[in-house]
Amino acid sequence: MKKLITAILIAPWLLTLLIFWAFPVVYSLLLSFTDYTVFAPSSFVGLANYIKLFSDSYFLQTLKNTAFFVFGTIPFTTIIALILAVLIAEKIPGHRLFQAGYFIPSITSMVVIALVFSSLYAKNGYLFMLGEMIGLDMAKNGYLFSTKTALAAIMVMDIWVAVGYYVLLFLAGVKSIPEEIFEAARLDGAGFWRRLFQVTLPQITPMLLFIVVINTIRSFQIFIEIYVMTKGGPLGSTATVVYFVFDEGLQKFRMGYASAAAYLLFLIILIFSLLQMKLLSRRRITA
Amino acid sequence: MFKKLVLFIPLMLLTCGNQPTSKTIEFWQFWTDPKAKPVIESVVQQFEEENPGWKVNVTDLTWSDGHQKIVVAFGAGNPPDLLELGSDWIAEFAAGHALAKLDIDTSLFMQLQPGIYDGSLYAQPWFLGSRVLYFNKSLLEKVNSSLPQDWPQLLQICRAIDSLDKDLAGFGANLAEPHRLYKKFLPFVWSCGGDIVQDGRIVLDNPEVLEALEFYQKLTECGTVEIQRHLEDAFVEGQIGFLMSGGWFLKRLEENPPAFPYELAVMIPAKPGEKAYSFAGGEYLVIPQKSKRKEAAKKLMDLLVQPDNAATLCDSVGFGFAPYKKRVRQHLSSGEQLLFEQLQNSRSTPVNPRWVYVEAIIENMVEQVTLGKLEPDEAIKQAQAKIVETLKY
Repeated sequence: MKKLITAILIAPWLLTLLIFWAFPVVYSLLLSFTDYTVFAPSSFVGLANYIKLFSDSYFLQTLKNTAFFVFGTIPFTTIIALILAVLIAEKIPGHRLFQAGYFIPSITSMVVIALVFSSLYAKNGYLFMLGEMIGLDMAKNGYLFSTKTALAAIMVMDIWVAVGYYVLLFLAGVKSIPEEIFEAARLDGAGFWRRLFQVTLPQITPMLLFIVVINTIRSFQIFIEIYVMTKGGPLGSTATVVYFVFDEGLQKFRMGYASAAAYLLFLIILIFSLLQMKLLSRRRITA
Repeated sequence: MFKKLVLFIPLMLLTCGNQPTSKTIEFWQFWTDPKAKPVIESVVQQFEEENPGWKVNVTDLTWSDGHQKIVVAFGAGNPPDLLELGSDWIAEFAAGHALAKLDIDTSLFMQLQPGIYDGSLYAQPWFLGSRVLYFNKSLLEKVNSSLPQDWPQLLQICRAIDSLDKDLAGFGANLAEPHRLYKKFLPFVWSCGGDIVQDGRIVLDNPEVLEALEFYQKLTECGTVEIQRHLEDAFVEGQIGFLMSGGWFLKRLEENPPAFPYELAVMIPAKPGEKAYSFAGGEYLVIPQKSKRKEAAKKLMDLLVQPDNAATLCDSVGFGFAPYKKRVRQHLSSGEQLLFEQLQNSRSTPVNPRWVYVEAIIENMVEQVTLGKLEPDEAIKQAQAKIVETLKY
């Protein structure tokens, strides 16, 4: 009877998982081996979609943009979040206010943030004018309308948005370190940076690993910012792989091709996550 | 069959509990404006009163994801009975044999061309609009100019305005805005006597496209490039001399007049005295081929486009025109009259089932030139090569 009730209670969640998650995951894998386009009858094409992706200059550009985004944001997000978390943990004056303040962007709608930043980056926007004042005048018509600055501008916004969430995670990690260890370090004359590198960091390696992995996954999947701010432009300079999947699948309805791109992204994320886990866990052992 | 089932399951789940009866018309439409919705509801009510026993189930779509929902519904073999489509989507569905042919009195209506595919009419125009030039009169006065009569004059004035102040721009040009940029560029091609459709094929490498592209490049050099929303904001702030926009912008300016005098003008021709064209956008009604209630859907369609009902819809949103050759609304402001005049000299998206690819190629071509990556002739050459590859000419 208890088992039956458990099964009944878990059924809605399980059904939702199977219908809206597991089934699409498997089905899109099958689609990636077809030329399905919704209207026309489809046929099995084997690995043709995957092979074609590697000769598709637009896809390769999106791959390059995504890699630039990932490697350009993760170090900054992680380092800034770590420093802020440690500062908050040190209970600097107003630390609770800072803690809440950093987190606000993380709970604000990304669409709203993207729209606000679109205005700030526009030709007459405050951030653009501020940039001009300090010599960042490489874009004539606003940061989002130059192939040189558009992606970088979105990356800066993304770092600002993402930091707060990781501050909280790091803070949880830092606060789990026994206070005696810090006290002992202080008695031994360790300053802020020494405590950070020789006490805090080794102690929070599991949290660091977790943050780097989820941040990598999130950064590879960047989409809303691109969709709202630039639609992949100008000239595809901000188009990411997920935007490519959206464009091919839901604008051009080449579902098979889009599914192949999505699975390729999945593979890339998987490989990166495994590599990071291996690398960081080895460092932990060494430490 | 399996795929259809897969697409049908989510739709079925979404609509379960609201299953249509055999005398229920499923009508999918995009009018969610609180002022327009009561107009649609009153027409639906009128239909239900005139046709006892029939019900209409109205589903609202949004422009951000409506297209996806429609395609999924067609893909699942479960489209509605009556459907509103944007003018540039019709060919895609007509080419897929997804729409029923329509029999209407074509002599009454304007802008039927987007609804015609392979010689047959598949879509009924419902709501039409065009774009005109909005200009800042005080900026024109500052450079001692009056309304230009041809492209060289327009360029001269835009350059003069641009040189007045760092924060001023002669022309407001669109960029990095998919599905919209081509609507701003094609009127220049048409206004110098060209077209991108020749013998049913998309052809970009012709002298008129080159002339239009070179001119658009010069305009952007003495203008500002932005998305439409920001361009309209900049115009309202008095920072732009000339801007192409539609009736919605006139409504905004009339409701919140800017601090400077402005006027509207029809598009400027390449040479004085020649005809200049603008882009005509519109909402069209179609009946899917798979509908089992085509006759009733056609009755509802006829009622929706009835002159009074179509005009009331335009009045409710404050812009746009009923699709009749003869003006339906008698009282138009001077700006609206000009928009109506321009509508007579406007063209729609060329009919091509793979337009979504074509527009992306055209927009990329314009961006390449505008951002100084390629010279106009080279950009056209590359774009034409992509057209040939994509459309398999």
